Amino acid sequence: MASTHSQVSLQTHRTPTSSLPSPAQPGPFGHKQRKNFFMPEGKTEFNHGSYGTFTRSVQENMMKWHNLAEENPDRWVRLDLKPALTKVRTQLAEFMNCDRDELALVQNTTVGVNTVLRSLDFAPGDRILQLSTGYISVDKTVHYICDTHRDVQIIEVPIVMPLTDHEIVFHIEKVIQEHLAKKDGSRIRLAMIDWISSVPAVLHPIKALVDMLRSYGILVFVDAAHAIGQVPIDLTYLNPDFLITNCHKWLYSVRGSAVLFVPKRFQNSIHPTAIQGDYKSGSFELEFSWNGTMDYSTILSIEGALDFRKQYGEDAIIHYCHRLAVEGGEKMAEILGTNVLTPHEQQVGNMVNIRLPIKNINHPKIETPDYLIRLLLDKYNLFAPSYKHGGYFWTRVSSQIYLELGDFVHLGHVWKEVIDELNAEDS
Amino acid sequence: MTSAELPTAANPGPFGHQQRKNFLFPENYTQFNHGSFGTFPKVVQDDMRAWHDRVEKNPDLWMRRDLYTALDDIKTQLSEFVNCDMEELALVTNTTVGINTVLRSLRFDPGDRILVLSTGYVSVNQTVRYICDTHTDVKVIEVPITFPISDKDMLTRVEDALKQHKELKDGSKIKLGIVDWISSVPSVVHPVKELVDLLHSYGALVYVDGAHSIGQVPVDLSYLRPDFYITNCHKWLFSVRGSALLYVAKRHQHLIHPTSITGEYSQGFAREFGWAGTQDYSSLMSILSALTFRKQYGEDAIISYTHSLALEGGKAMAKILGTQTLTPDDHHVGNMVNVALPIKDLNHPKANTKALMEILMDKYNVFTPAFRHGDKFYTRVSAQIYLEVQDFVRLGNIWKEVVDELNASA
Repeated sequence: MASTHSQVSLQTHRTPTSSLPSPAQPGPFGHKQRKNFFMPEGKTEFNHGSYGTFTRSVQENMMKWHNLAEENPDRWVRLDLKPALTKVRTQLAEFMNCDRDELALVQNTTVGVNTVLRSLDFAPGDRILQLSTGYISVDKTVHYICDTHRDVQIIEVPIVMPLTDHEIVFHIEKVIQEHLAKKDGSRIRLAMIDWISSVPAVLHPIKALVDMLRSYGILVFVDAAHAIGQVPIDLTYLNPDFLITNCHKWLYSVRGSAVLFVPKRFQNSIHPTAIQGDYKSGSFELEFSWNGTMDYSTILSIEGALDFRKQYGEDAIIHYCHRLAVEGGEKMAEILGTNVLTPHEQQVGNMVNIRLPIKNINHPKIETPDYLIRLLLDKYNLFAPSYKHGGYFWTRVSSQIYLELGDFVHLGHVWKEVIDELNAEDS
Repeated sequence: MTSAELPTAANPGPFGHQQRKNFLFPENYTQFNHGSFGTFPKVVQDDMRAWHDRVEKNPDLWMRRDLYTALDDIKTQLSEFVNCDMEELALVTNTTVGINTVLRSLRFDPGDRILVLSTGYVSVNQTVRYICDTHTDVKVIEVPITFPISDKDMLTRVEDALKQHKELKDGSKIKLGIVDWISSVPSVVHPVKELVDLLHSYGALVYVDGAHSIGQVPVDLSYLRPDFYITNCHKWLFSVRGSALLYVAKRHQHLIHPTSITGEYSQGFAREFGWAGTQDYSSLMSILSALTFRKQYGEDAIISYTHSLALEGGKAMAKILGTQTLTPDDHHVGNMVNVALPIKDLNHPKANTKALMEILMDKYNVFTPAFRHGDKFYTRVSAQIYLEVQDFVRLGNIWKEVVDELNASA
């Protein structure tokens, strides 16, 4: 059984890695890709991970759907919209190896998480397990559930990188066992687990985690916000209880397009965050395919995104981005005289975390993100988020098909200049 | 402008077919059903696309900073439009979301009752049903309403239901009443101020489902004083779909959270409703250009024309069909008019919304929803600035043909 999530190990990927694009041999990728996107001259996007971006062809695809709706809104909404959405689900089901009817298209991960958490029937004594590195909106939603139910509490597992895959699984299992030993009548009902966390960006040993948690009878909701388009997804193999992923992050669709996986066994109890006319129709598909009047073109742009990616193939895109993240991270660490956060390469997808050599971790200018956001954007016309973790200061950099190794070198020098200046202020 | 100078069906001024070129309709297509999904002018679409492009040049700057300035600007403009404090407003995707936002936030205790009218919108009534399903001893009180009904009779019906409930003396309490400003099918303008006051006088909170109100009737929330109010800008205001306005009176804001909790939970109403997670905010941004488009003519002019056209057009259609409109009183009509269809056999297999829709779309390339209400069939027609009376005449003739054929095939 694979204990790590190797990029090209799953059954759909058979291309030998030596022939795939890499930082040394970018093939169709690198700066020549810039013209396919919207980036203005002189601006380099190092933070694809936060909000994603999409290609011009994807925007054209979105506008196609937008205009189609306007030609005859009644025909569109009443007759043509659902088949179009079904087609997207069919394509995604193939992409993620699952049943099309176990997928629902939603706006984003926050909505997906709320959909499940606010539908589940939590009882007094239920505990929800999460990791300290989970995303803030997920954490707040779990807090909200606890606030609105009697005796439903959080069990938080502290995760401080660097940790190996094995250590991550071990830490979590230890907390579960400690809880069991208490024998206080409470039960861990659900666990929220990142596939790839946000800050720090760590690719978790997700299969091992899902298996371990399920072995304790705990429902597992995989927050795979960053997964689709960054790592291969096989839901039949992974077998989570729930999973949410943003297509508008790494798949290149327009913002406001995500997909929620709800296996059939749970569908009776899961309802949308906004109940509509098809409530209790007995059909998960009906309940989730119409979210009231809105613009569905962003969701439908998933079609354009998949078309764009097919030109190159998932293997090529994933391999290039991953190798660039790994090598780019190493280069930056070299320039800064520091290290990357993750001890093993398989813990990096397309996002790499490099330590920033700030001398004073309590420097006033890094207490809030504002100063650095303004400085990086206004002075250097770029941005990469920075954050504290485990007593150190890090930056997270997103690789992409429109970047090259030279971009990482440039960013390394920019950060060096910024940090040197901050360090000089101190003394 | 005095009312004598405002555009009407007889004197369209800047409105009528000359407006078609401002919109996105294909040559051979006439939109008679603006009320369902709305539509927007080309300039609004162009502006939406411009926002889209602008954001893509620097998504970080947008999401972390400029988005909030833009949202505040929209809320400020809308607060002037609906006469309320800007801090009482939140921008959401649509009415369904707005209804769920409040209903799924409010605390309902055993014994609480929710009052609705039978003519309320299906998604609203289903949401109420969901609330009842997920709480112990929370029930719905549905007031049966059949149009036509005078304002006075409607208020009496609602008050009777309130009185009847009071007589029960069973410890239960009507916590919330949900009332339409302008219902959907059939489409009728309700005596909403009186309804709000009546429900308040019985101690109930009031949620006004104003899905159809903004852009169709003047909205003054300081006068109306609901506890909650939702309206779709993408219906009658001409913004892009997925742009609605939620009003939550300050005294209730601490109770109300978005349908999707975000990282801003517990940071106060403005912050909780400012960030809705990563999405395309261009639909909301389009509200600005929609308001600009309308300012060219002024709200009075637009409302005067569309209302007058609904009345005149409805009369013309009823004459052709040999029937009447649903509402005898003009003030019950906003921009939408319900015209009776002379279908002889109410149980005819084709006498249903879906079958009639297919015939209209496939054979005539038009659509107006047909529905049964009381003992008759009606169709609801939406007037708009791009229509004229002759369009209603054409539609009347189409419906006549359709119904004649249906009656003949019994």
